Amino acid sequence: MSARLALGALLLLGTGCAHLLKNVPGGEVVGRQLDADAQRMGGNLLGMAATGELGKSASFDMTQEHHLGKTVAATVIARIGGTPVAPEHPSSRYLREVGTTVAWAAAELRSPEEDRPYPMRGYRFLLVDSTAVNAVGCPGGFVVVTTGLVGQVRSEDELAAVLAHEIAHVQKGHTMGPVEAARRQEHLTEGMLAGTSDLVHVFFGKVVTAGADFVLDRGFGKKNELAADAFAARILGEAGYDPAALPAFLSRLQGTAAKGGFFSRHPPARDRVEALGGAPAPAPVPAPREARFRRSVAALAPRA
Amino acid sequence: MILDGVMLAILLLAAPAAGDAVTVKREGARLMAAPRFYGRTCPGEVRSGAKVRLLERRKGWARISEPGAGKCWLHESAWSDRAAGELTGDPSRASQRDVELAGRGFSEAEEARYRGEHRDLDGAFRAVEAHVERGAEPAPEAIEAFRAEGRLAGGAP
Repeated sequence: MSARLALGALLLLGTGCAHLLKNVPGGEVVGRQLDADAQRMGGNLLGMAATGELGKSASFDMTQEHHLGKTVAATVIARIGGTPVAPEHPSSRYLREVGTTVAWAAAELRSPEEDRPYPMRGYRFLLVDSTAVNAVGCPGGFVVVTTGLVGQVRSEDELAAVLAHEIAHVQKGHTMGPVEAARRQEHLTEGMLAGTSDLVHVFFGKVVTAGADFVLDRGFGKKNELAADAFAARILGEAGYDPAALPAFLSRLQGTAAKGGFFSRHPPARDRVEALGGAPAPAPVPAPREARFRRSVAALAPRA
Repeated sequence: MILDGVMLAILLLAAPAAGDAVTVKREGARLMAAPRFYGRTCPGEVRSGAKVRLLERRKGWARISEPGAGKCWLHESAWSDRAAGELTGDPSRASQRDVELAGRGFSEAEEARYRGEHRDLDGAFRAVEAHVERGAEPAPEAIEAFRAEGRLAGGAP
C-alpha cells in the first residue's frame, strides 16, 4: 500500500518537474533525466516490495549497537563541548558507582518481553566538564553526564534519578528506535535510487547523525519520556534510592533552570511530575550517603 | 495487544530451558552465587565461545553445571543477543556498494571508517575509548560495599 503510494508520488514528482523544466533554457535535458530517474525509482520500489525487502528487519545486534553507541557518544560529547573527565578521577568513579548500582537494579526489573540484552560491555558513565546542564543515554549503554547537571542535583538520590531515566531509555530500546528507523529509511532510499543519475549516499553517516540528534536534541517523544520516568521510579525503589527524588528534581528545576539541555528535549516538567503522581517530600538521606555525595559534588564543581 | 501476547509466548518458547546447552557470547560475563546482579560472585569464569549447560532457570538467570559444580548463576545476557538486521539489498538492481551498505550493521570497521572521515571527533573518541578500557563497571563486591556504605537496602535479596 505505502509502496504504491510512494510510487505514485515519485512518478507525479518526476513527470511534473519534467513538464515545468520544458520552458527553462537547457531544462529539457534535465527534465528527461528526472523523468527517467522517477520511472527507475518507481520500478526499484516495486521490485523491493515484490522481493520482501521492504519488510525486513533493520535491527542491530549488541556488538553492532556497541560500536554505534561509541560513535554516537563521541558525537554527543563533541556537540556538548567541554572537557571529558578521565575514568580514574574520583568523581568519575563515584558516577560509575551510582550508575552501576542503578543499572543493575534496572536489569533486575527487566521483563521477559524485552528483547534487548544487557549492553555488550556493560554501561559506561562519562563525565564531561561543562556548564551545560545535560545527561544523555546513548545506544550500547554509554551515558554522558555534564558537571553542570551534577551541580543542579541536591542528593545522590537525585543523581541516581537522572541516571535511572537515561538507563530506562537504553534498556527499553528508545535510543535505538530512531537509529533503526533511519537505517530502514536509508535502505529504502538506497534501493530506490539504485541505477539513477549521480546521487551520493552517505549511509551510516546519516544513521549516526540521526542517533545523536535524537538522544541529544529531539528526545524520544512524550510517550517514551513518561514511560522512562515511570520505569526510573521503579528502578530507584529497587536500588534502594528514594523514588520521590525524580519528581523532586523535576519540580525544583521547572523554572528558569529547566531550559535547554536535559530539559529541552523532554515534555514540560509539570506534566512529568503529574504523570509520576505528584512530588511527595523526599525521604531523609542517610548521613554517610549525604557525606559522600557532598565530597563528590565538591570535586565536580564546573570550572566555568 | 493480542500480537504482544503472541510475541511474548514465542519469546518464552524460544528461550533456552533447563537441560539445554548455550554458547557464551560475551567476555567478562560474571558468575554469581545467587540469581541477582547484586551480591557475591562465584569463583570461576566463562569465556566467550564456551558451551555451558543450564540446570535451572529463574527469571533471566540460569544455574549452570560448570564452572562451579552447579552452584553458580549466569545471566542470560551472557549468551543471548538480538538478531542482526536482514537487509541485504537486491544485487540485480543495486550497485555492489549499495548491497554491501544495506547488509552491513555498524561493525568495528564501519566505526573506524566513520572516525577516519570525522577527524574532528578524535578527542571525543579517545575519551569514550578511555572509559571503555578503564571505566568498566565495578565488581559486584565493590558495589555491595558502596550500597552498604550508602544504606541502600534495595529490593528483595
